[in-house]
Amino acid sequence: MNCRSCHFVDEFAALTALGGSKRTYTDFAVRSPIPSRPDGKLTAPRNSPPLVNPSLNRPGGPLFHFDGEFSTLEDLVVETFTGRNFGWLSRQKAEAIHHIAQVMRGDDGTGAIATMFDGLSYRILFTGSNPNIPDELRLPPEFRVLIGSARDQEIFDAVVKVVAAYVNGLRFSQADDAGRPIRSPFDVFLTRNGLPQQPNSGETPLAYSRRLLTLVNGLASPQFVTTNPNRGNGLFQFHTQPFAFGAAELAGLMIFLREPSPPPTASPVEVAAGQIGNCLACHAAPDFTDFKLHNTRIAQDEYDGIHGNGSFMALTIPAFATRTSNDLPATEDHPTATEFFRSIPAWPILR
Amino acid sequence: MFPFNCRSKAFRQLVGRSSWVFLSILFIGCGGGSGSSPQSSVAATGTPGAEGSVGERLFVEASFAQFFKAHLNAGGNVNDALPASDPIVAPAIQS
Repeated sequence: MNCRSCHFVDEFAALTALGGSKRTYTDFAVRSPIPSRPDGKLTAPRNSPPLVNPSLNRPGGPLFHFDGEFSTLEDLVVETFTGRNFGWLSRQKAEAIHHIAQVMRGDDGTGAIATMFDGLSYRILFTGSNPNIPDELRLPPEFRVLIGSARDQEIFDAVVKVVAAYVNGLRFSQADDAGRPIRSPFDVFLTRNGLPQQPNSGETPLAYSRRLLTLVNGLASPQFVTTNPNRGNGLFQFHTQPFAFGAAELAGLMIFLREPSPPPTASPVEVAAGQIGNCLACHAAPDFTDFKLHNTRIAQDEYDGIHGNGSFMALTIPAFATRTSNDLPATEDHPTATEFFRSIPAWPILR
Repeated sequence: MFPFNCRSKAFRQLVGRSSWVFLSILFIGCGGGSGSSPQSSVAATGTPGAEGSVGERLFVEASFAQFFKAHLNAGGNVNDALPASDPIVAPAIQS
């Protein structure tokens, strides 16, 4: 088990049964499998979240993991490396940290994974200054640790910091290897028609989206996109569909951006007339997301399917002041917690 | 162990850290006048972005898991390949 065991990229790209596609560091499972341990759990509550772009800046700061339980990548890495996904039970955090430190101390660079990265031991690699380290692996001082003399926690902290930095760097590129910009047909359409690609300073995404609709409505002769100007063959680099933003796409954009008057509820007349998507209520440009966690009813429908219609809504959710440790995830601080609110509906601990 | 590809090969849409690293090396390498060699300078300052490359190795490090700890408890060595992988890895492509 390692991070990549559930956060795939192209491991299964050759399997046409799975669509032959790459993953953005996620898996194909409904719920990701976890190591078998005495607690009887065999899957995580959900499948592995994608790791490309989750650390982008957003209003209120990022939230990570299944239910947004972490606000920093470092906290996420700590709980993953010492938690149930890696096979550690809730009372084993200290043991996990000691084990990881021992691995770091004992690694001599001869393992199969180490040899893919120049075959240096972690002891050498984390000095940052050893002359045998190739420059592309030479850690800046803030990431270094002297593994031979450091305490378990210091070694573990260094591991966490470096892994968090790696995940933080997983972003969709804005340029290809040749330096040419990677743009969607929508991006090219905006450019070709002199439309703004970003909100003005201080402008909210919603206000920008509304302004964009006004400007699009004012286009007398829209200039459509039929080819990718940033690639010689005029195509997408990784997709087979045509690189196009034409009349149909423009009509779709306008439906996407139109709102009821007044928002958010459409009148019967508006419903009958159609053409109002109100998508921007949650998918405002330019990010086309509100970066929030939503109840998409998947868990609710599953729960009701097992326990009866309406049973999910009948659950009592304790407030912050009234919740007990039993309501929280099982951790070293609350090792016997039932993890009720992250439970899979079919698990017997549900009440 | 499942197949592994380095990030730059596996996911070319992602940020090309290697070019950033190259430019950083070039910049550091051209920064003269301090009296210290470029090599010692890089050794002191490190290479910006190298944490991503080292992090990638840790991301695929299979020895941190409790399953590997059980292997060590049974007399295994940190640098040994596991005689059998954690069976939980196999069904990870279930639909």
